[in-house]
Amino acid sequence: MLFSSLTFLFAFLPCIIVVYFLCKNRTYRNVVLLLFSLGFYAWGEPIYIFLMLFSLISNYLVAILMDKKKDNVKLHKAIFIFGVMINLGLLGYFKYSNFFIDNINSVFNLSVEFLQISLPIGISFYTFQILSYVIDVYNGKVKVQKSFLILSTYVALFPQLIAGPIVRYQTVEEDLLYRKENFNDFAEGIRRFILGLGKKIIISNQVALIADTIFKTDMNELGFSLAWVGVISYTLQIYFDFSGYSDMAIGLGKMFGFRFLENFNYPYISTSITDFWRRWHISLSSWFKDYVYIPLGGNRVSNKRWLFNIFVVWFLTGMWHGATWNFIIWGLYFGVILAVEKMFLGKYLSKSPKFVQHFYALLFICIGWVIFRSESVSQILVYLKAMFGLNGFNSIKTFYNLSIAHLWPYIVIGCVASTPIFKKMFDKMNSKLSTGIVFDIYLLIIFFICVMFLVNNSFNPFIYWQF
Amino acid sequence: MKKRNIFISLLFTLILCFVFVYVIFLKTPNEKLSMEGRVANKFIAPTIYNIKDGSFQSSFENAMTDQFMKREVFLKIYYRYDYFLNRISVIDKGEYSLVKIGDNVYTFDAAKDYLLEFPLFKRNDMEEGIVNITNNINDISNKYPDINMYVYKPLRLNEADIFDEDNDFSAYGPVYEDLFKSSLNEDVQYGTNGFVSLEDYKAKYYMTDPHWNNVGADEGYRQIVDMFNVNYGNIEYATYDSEYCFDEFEYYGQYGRGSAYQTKGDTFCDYNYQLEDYTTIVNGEQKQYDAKDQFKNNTIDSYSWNFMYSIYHGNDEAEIIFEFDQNTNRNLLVFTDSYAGPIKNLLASHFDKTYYIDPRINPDFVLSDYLEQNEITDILYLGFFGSLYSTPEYVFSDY
Repeated sequence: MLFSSLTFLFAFLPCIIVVYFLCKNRTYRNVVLLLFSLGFYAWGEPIYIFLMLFSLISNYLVAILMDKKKDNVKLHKAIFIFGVMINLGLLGYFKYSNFFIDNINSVFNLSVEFLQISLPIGISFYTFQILSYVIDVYNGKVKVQKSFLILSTYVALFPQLIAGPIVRYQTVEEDLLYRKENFNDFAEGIRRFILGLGKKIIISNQVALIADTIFKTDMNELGFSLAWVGVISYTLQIYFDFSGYSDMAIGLGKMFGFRFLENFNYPYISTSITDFWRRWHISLSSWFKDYVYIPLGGNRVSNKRWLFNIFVVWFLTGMWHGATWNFIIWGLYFGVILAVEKMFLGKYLSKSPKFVQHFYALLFICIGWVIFRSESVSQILVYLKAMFGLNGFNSIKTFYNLSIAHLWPYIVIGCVASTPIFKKMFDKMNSKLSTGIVFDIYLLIIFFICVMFLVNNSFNPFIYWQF
Repeated sequence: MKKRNIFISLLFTLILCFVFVYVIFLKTPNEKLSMEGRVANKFIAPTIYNIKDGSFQSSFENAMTDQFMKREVFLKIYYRYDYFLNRISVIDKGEYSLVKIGDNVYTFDAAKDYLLEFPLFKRNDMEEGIVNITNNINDISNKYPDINMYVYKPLRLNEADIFDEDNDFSAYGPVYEDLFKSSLNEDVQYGTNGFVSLEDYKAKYYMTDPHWNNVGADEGYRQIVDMFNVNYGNIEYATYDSEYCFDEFEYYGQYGRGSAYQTKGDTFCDYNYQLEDYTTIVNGEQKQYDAKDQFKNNTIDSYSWNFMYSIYHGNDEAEIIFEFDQNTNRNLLVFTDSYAGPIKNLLASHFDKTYYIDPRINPDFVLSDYLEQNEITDILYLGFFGSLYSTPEYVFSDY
């Protein structure tokens, strides 16, 4: 089920709010959350609810066993490795097996048949969540959770279940046990949710029409300006899609008393790629930092080993996004830039004027999105060639002929909304009662516009739930 | 601040709950959606099977959209909003600057009432489609030299070349028209109505629909008769003695509905032609084909008024046979689409039997058998560019 659907807004959400707040007892409220969350997940693919339950039960048992055998170092480690293997095995089987088969077939000229499996929604997100719990229990950073209900509620919690943010157990443990819902948080949650909904429906879905049309255009007709319109649109689409979803998740969490960490911090105002990755999908980059990069030694190792660590982390970051080579290239692309920035470029950048830093960061971010969005290596090359005017023609005429020219106001709105201008304005409005009421009216208008778009059943795909 | 938060929390929750209860439990379900011209999805009861295969979920989501409260009002506001945004988005305004006003519906910045689809641009499938159908028509013509072959294509506004003037559009309508015409054998007669200006177009077509009105249809009919007369020489046009208009009814065609009724509607008129009595057999059953009398007597259901062009003249059907008992020794076979609607009986009045086949909905049609069984003397292709250029069903393999 999508947050940006009439079914979620006017069937799922009112039902869970009413049932949840009718329960007075914390345990009952957690039961309500768990049952509704499982229903939320099962709505799209009922069969994969069993996969999630298997993952929940096995990780619950692994953590309990690890706790019981913590004095036996070898057994403790063995159980931990077994737990990690289960999680990575499930992820590997469902997400990567056909990718490996495809590559084996290509390299060895074989014709091994592909597995007839579809990717379970949100498997990358919930696997990483539960994996962080297992690792933290192993390292003694969190106490083992003996209540299956609490652990299941943590993993299956519907706001962040299918597209993040990747919430770590330690950040919500207290909320799971002792949270206190109140009107202030509920109202703030509504506000955050509506802003996220607006980002998704009003901006992302509209610029997506431009991006999708251009990326589907015959690459031979792709000229300089059209290529830039396409990549800028996609740059906006993916940000407002994903940050909109994160806003909705954070807002919904707040309505039910949870405090999730921020997942985005205006990534397009970054001054370098290092800065970008501190602002983009923070929960994923910090996950890889804490659970892969630092355990490998981080940067407190030899240069060779450090480069290896960077390679591993960004190879895995690319792989996490999808089982195709363009995602891996995309991950490694950023790995190389980050390494170069850390080695010498960062020093020069920091001394250069701000606009040069922003231009540099945005240019490489945009190139990254071309790699991310393209369906093949050849498309990446042709697209980049067009972006830099190397295919020898411009094609703004094609832009008109594609019937998407009228959508340009959404690009302007998206560009402005990528900066903290609106946030500063909203915060200021929200701080006083009189302007706060105006702000609430404004939000209700946004909600109305979103419903209007949904009734019209306009273009509504979430990019990030495929991961 | 706390009071404000309590108020917004309760208001939001109440809105969600009210809509939920109203849409699912209180509202009388929509049966049909006039703007889309389809049956509305309704909520179905959940079972283990339909939940397991996902059909309950998809049906629920569809029903939620179709049965949403004040759905049509939301759609109208959406299209208004979209139209406003589209209007302000046109950078270089000119007389023929196009503004999007609906789902694949556009209007001109200067002449807001006339609606059209996006101008025909270069499409990879189009050229291939033209080659396929013209080859096929030529082959049929070669195989049956005794049968007179005609092709008549009513123009659509989005095929015109008027867009080139202001907007630097690469309108491919005229390019494809030339290709189509030049690819046909000399034995195959080709005709089209055409229009020299937007004003000329306005006189012949509805503002809110791609179809021709009674004026345009009458002109098309006469031009087709002129083509017949190249072979027969003595066919006289059917004439009308009066015009009947539904003055109190605003007709919104396909584009009008697609733009959520944002422009004014059309006045629907028809000529009263003087024709001999005839019978019609629709898909093997002898019955009245059109619904002219029901509209004139106002005995037709309200939903049908939304689709007046097709229902009034008669819907697209797999096979319709018109029988005029007048011993002309001519039998006409017409491959057609909705453009033939207003002139089916007129064309048929010059033949003993006229067979209208809509290949899009007649998959069992075999041309060679049909020609032999029905002693066809003339074949007419009558359709707009979409049917002729890019609908594979109009290309017959069994001839």
